Amino acid sequence: MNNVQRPIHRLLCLAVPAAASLMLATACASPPPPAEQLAVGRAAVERANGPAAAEAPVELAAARDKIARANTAYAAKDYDGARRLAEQAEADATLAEAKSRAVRSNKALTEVREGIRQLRDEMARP
Amino acid sequence: MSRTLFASTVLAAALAAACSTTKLAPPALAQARAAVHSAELDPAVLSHAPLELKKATDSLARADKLFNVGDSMADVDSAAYVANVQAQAAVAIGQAKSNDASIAGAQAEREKARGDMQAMAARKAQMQAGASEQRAVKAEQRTAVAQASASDAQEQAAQLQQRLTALQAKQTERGMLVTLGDVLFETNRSEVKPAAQVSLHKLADFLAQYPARRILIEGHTDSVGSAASNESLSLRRAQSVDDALVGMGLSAQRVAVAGYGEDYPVADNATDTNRALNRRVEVYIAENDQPVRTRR
Repeated sequence: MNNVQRPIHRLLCLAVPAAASLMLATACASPPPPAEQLAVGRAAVERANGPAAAEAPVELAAARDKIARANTAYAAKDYDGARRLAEQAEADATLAEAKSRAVRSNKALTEVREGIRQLRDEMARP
Repeated sequence: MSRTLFASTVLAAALAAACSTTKLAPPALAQARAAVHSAELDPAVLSHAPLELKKATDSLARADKLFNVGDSMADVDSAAYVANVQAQAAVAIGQAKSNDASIAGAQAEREKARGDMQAMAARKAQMQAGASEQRAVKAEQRTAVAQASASDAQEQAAQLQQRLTALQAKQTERGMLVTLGDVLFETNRSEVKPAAQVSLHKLADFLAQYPARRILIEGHTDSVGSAASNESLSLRRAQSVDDALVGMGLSAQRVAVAGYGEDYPVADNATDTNRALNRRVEVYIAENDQPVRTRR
């Protein structure tokens, strides 16, 4: 067994890095430009711009920042980076919209409940 | 053949081992898993944001797969970030829609409260209106009573006036004055003649209508004869009238008598006519419940 192991071991030590780098090479062959993802991301941030500005400024700012960096990466041909940033920008924009909806609905609910309380108070007055 | 198979198996395993990153999940992936798990437990998400939750769970599955096949850290982190943010969005949407559902119910409750209050206000207004109505009715009644008594008083005043006119009464500052003339007495006598009865009856009836009013009977003469005898005669004539009226039912307490002789003539004593005028008995009727003011 010993006599067989040593040559195999040497083979592996040569083969593995080679195979690994081969794999890496095939995996990291230039990705296509993520034009669609970028467009989707931009659109999402645009959509969130108006309504979310007041109630979810932090999330909206994050979305804007990401899409700006995505554009920069795209221009610099960092397509992986551009794709990731565009995906994140889209998610951030969606969160900004969702949060602003939640804030507004909360306000509206509080208002109605306050109205009820006031009416009931007034009725309770002698 | 076994050697090739063995070799390729070992190679594959080695490759997998070499290309895999650490076994420990990166923080971003751990956080994403926690966020998605939390969203899955949120009842508002389950009721109102199932689609948003699915997006997050799909993204988390993608991140896990990238992690398991040993993809680049940047890709895994990015996918994990997206899953995390999508899970948060699902929670926010769930809350928003849950609030919206509550709003509908709360609005209905508010409308009901408004309705209740309006009903209460209406009832209150009705009660107040009822009370005002009652007050108005009472006021009307009082007005009617007042009017009735006013017209009563008017009637009474008219009647009084009529009667006084019938008696030929005159208004003076000391009260109503009925003058009984000389024809009612024999010359120098104080007895009232039978012809006078009619006039006296009229006077008695009148006085009976106004029992609160007091009277003063004054006797007057002309200037013929002595002052003393005239005074005495005038007084006796006044008393005669008093007796006659009392005899007709007048309460004696109401009557005062006085004799002024020739002291207060109404005409000069130059002619028979004028002297006849001076020979008179004056009956003053008080216009209130006070006794008639005397001349002196």
